[in-house]
Parts: sequence; C-alpha cells; structure tokens
Amino acid sequence: MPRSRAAPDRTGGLGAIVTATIYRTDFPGSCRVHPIDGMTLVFHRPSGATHFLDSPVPEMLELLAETPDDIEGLTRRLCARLGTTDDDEARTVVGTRIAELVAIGLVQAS
Amino acid sequence: MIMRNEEQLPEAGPPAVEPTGESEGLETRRGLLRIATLGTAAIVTIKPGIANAAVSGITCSIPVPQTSQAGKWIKKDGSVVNPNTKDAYDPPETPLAGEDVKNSLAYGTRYSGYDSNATSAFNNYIKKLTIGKQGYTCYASIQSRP
Amino acid sequence: MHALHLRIGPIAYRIGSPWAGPIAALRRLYAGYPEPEDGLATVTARIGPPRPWRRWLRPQAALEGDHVLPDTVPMALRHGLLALEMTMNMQVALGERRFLLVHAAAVERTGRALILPGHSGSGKSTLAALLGESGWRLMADEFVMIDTATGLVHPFPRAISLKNSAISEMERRIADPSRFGPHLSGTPKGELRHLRPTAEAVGRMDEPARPALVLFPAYGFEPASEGVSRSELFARLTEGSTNYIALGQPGFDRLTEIADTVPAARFAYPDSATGIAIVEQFCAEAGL
Repeated sequence: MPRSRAAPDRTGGLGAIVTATIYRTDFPGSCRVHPIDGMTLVFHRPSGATHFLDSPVPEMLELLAETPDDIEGLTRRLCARLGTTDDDEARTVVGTRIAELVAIGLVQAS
Repeated sequence: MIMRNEEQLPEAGPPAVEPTGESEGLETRRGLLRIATLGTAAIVTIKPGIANAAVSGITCSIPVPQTSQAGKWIKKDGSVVNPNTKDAYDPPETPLAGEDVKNSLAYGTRYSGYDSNATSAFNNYIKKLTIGKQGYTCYASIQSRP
Repeated sequence: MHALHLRIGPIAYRIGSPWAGPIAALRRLYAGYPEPEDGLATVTARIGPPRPWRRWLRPQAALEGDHVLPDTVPMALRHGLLALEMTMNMQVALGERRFLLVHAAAVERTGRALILPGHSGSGKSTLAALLGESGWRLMADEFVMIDTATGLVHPFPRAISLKNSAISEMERRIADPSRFGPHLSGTPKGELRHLRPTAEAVGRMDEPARPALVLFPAYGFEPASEGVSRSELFARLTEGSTNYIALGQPGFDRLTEIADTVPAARFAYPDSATGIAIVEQFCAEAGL
C-alpha cells in the first residue's frame, strides 16, 4: 500500500502530500542464492541472468523481500541492520543501488 | 606451490569480483553506505560472450556501414549519413577485419589508409551495432576475446 | 556432396563437403573412430562455397551446418580440413544443450579429470597433448562437457590443434606419422597441424571422470603460480562457456558446486617441460 510523505514545497513550508515510489522484489523466491567469498551469487529465474552481488545489495534485497518500501524507509532499516548512520549520503547510495537493481529486473518500482 | 584452501583469502582478480573482505568490523560497515563506494560495482552480471568460444579462431569481419547502406558515409559520432556530409568520412569498400577492429579498439591503431578521425568515426559506428545488424556478432566476439 | 559419419563422445556427426579433399583428410585424421550408433547422426557440420562460383573459382569454404554464425569470413579451400574442424566446433558450441560446455582441455588419470581452461595461445592444447602422451588420457582439447545432473566430465576427444612451435615438439615425441593431419600454413591461427589422440583415448571415449582440479595455464612467462578463488573460478568457467545461459538453473547449480569443491590455480610457464612439471606438482598436491 502506498505510503504518503509530507514534502517541503519551494517556500520551505509543508506543501502537498507526495507519494514516494515503493520498491518491491521477487527475491529470493524467484532465485537461487549462493554465498561465495563474502559475496552473494544469484541466479534469477525470470530473467535467466546470473549476478554477483556485494554488500549492501543483498541486504537491501532481503529487507525489500520482508517489506516493500521506498528509498527513505529502506535506508532507515538498512542502516539499522548494518549499524551505520542514516543520512543523506546513505540515501544516495541506496537510491543508486536501487536504480541498478531495477535495471536488471531484481527490483520493481510501483 | 599455492593451492586454494578453506582459509585462503580470495585473490585479487578483476575488481568486480574482489570481495569486501571476511571481517565484518565496524570500519567495513561504516564505509558501506558512503558515496565513495559508488565507484565500485556492487552488482556484476555474468555475460559470457555470445560467440566467444564458438568463434575461437574463426575470422570475422564488420562491414561499415551495412551492405544495404552502401555508398553512405560515417559521421564522427558513428551515425550513417549521406556522402559528402560535413565531418563525415568515406568508409572502406570491403569490411573491416575483426582483428583490425580489435586492435583499434584496444590499442588505438588506425585502419590502413585512414587517419585517426576516420578511424574513430568507424569505431563509433561499430560500437552502436545492435543484435541483427551485420557485424554485431563479430563485434561481440571481439569484445570477449583477450 | 561428400559425407562422413562420425561419433566423438556424445556427439554423432554427419559431416559434408562438396569437395572431396577435405572429407578424405578428415576421414584419415579420425581413422578408428566409431560411426554414430544405429547410424543416427544428430549434428550436421558442413562446409560450402559462400557463392556458387566459389566452388571452382578461387574456391572458398564457408562454415555451415545446423547453426550458422553471421559475419564469418570463409576460408581458402586449401584449409578445408581446418574449416571442417571449425564448423564441427561451431555446431557443438552453438547447439549443445545436454552438457554444459566449458572452453578447455581435459585429461584424466585414475578416474579424475584435470581441466585446463583457456583461449588459443594459453598453451592448453599443447599441454594436453603432452600429458596425453605421458600417462594421462586425453578427454578433450577444445570443449569440456559437463553433465549437469552428475557433475561428471564426458569425453569429447577431438583431434588436437597444434600450432606453430608445438607442431615440431609433438612430431619429435610421436613416432606414428599417421596420427598427424596435413601441415597447414598461412591459416588464421598460423601454422597448424592436427593430432589424433592415442588409441586408448579414442577407445575410452565413453568413460566419464570426476573433475578434480582446474589449472589455468599462461604460456610464455617466467614460472609463477597462485590460487584461484571460488568466485573467480565460477566467473571464469561461466565466461568460457558457450551454453551456460541456455542451460539456466541446472548450469548455475552445477558450476557453483564445482566452484565450491574443485581446487583451482593459475600458473605461468616459459616452456612445455616446465609447464608439465608445474602441472604434475599441482596434481601431486591435489592427489591426482
């Protein structure tokens, strides 16, 4: 279910409610997952593709598999799991990795 | 004589398959969600060359442009244009040899009889080839050869 | 059309050519190989003129068969035997679906297989040929066939392609001249001569072996070696496979199993004798 966020408008005050994109994944059910040398090897059945995934990507997929989420929510949970600071930098990294995951079909945007 | 064993740390191969390390200390975790990490790939997709082993030793060639576009010229950016267009080059009559293309892409060598601008234009054309176009299979096999 | 029917391991070929010469040369090279079982060939490999007049005028042999690769340059007819060998490779590379194919040589001893992956120039063919003459059984020179269900390597003992200096090296080692194909010069691969595997290797073409060691050779350097990690082994084996993608999950499962359980290393060597010595040392350590 879409989650709403109050977003600041150009004047700096609270403006219209904006719905952030929710990301979901068919991982791990649609995959064969194999840990190897500290990375995760994934065979994704729907696409037939094989990928090496390095942290924090496997953790992101596990979290999205538990609960679909937007970037902010995912970053918060990811930082809690890894014990790192939940800040803009973390959100940027998560946003970039999500885009890569969408591009290869492991994550879908709704 | 070194043999891989259970405790041995993974070798440094191509950066993409290098693991972040066995330790999960604070340092590693803190670093995970910093922008600096975006410089390294976190996702590496296995892409066996579609024709690498199949064409081992088979010479292939790439016509520039497609034979259906004979007579056209190639612009700097690799697009196919009418003859005598500004900043465009008259491509060779015969297809370019796969080995020559490989060397040009890897080492910057020029095609025989052409300067570096023309060579660059032809290479840009080649890099734009997609599945189904003449020369695509040859180009794909060149990329996956050492 | 001149034809030859030949079985090499699990591949039952029918091989055709409008010119008699290349087929006759291929028949001599594969003397002693069986015919397809029940006469049923399932893979067609052919050479033919790229244009009708090329059958007679400066004749050229294009690679044909069940599968065709676009953009390939036809070969001169005098290299017809090589063209036949190449299309025999190509048909298997593009069409095989029962076995996972890895671009590698393989030799067997005591039921265990040593796999030597590599492109042309790595020296895998020469090493395999030499090992095949010194107590090892040649299983493959070009493609190693792995049964995804069992993990066993199935023999595919094609003629070995010897290039340049490897030719004279093997000519010195092997007394029987009938095991060699004609000397071909000016081919895309340089000087080339084909070598038929030993009678034992041919006779045992239906005996699989368990992969026990993977060694990546690099010819032309001072001796050196290092271990290869599981992730690198997986990446290199899939990169060298023509049908990994087509096989899907069974291919993934089998290769992860191999990467997890089969030791791997790479080594550089300046000459064959040193290369063989390094191989034997690794094998001793791995219990082969």
